[in-house]
Amino acid sequence: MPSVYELQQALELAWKDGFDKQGSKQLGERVVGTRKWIGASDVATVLRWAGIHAELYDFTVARGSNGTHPDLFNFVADFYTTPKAKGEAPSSALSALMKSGSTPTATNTDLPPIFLQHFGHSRTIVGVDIRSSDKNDAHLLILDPAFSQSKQIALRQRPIPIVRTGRPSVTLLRGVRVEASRLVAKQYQLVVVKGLYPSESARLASKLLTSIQIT
Amino acid sequence: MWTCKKCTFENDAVERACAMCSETDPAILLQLQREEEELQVVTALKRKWDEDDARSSVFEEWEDGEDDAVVTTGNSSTSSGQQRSSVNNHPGAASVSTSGVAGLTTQIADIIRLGGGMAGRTVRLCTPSLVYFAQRDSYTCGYRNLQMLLSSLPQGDPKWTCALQKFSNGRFSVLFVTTQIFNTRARRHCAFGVRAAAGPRAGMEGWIR
Repeated sequence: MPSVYELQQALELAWKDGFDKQGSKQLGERVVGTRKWIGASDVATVLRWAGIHAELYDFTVARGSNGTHPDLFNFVADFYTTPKAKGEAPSSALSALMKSGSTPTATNTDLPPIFLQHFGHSRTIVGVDIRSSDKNDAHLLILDPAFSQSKQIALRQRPIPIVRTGRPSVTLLRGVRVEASRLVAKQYQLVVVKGLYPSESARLASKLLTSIQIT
Repeated sequence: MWTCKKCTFENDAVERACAMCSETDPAILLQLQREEEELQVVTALKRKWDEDDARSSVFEEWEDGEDDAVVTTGNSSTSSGQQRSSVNNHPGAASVSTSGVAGLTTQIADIIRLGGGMAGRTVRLCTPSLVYFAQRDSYTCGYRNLQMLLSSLPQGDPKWTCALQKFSNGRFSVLFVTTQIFNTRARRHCAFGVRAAAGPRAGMEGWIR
């Protein structure tokens, strides 16, 4: 796995190749060996430079009550229930989701995680947890690098914490499941990997970094 | 410890009824029941992970220093690139600082399937090949999340190899070859071997909506 140092090198190479000149200027055209923070735009830049089609999405309007972002939840839910995930027939995934019975199902798809950025910190969205009968009742499954593995999954803690809720899964995953009321930053950015660029010209055309506004 | 409401005797936590007067407390019984449920979940999960371990003999972690990345293998076991054992079980663990652990999303799926309390819910997770990286320095969150993202991309797919090699001057492939040479027991002894053995993913068509 490329180290932090190697990722910094890759980002500088991307800048030298003309990717995201604006971002390059903001960071003083140098990042190798420094403790400069990188954000969603830098991640998208370095991925694009490598030929990976990465899109940047901006969620700038908190449409939900108490400053929540239901659009963000819907976006991620749609992404992970996309019909082509894990060899499912088109249009079947969401309908199967809604029809599924009371037994919880957990499916690993072929989809990549999503880079989630908000002011001052970034995390990784690894999935979504939806009530089968109500798509609006969703939790995002988020890994936070600021926490150790045992903080992410309580089962890794020693001693194993006592479950007092009668809902072992919920308790064991409380560090990972994030409900809408906990995502109340003013704005969020997502980096979504969509595949590889089909040609060198397409890769070069992505040098200018723009984001898609979800409004 | 819990205190009997009838005789105020201090009972051990495991006592279902008061050792002095045999009085039972519904709240204590409920708590014990829940603890038993959780124990069953934990036992089931550990059994499944042990069974997975028995099918494979892999322990992997990425030590991510400031300028290097290392895949280590040892006696502890996992399957499909999933860490199952405590880091401290690893030979030389004291000198190994783990920042990358594979298989976390599979563990999440296991907990949901085998655990209770999530009836009526459906969970969709990203690819199980994701490696979880924890940050040691506050400035590295962006890099750690980028590492998680990169780890989830299909290294075994030739279409992706070229792109991924750009991040480390070809060391993705070097790492792959090296771990196979030094670990001849099975290709699956390293994550890259697992991915290669599993064959390339369906490609990017599933990722484009």
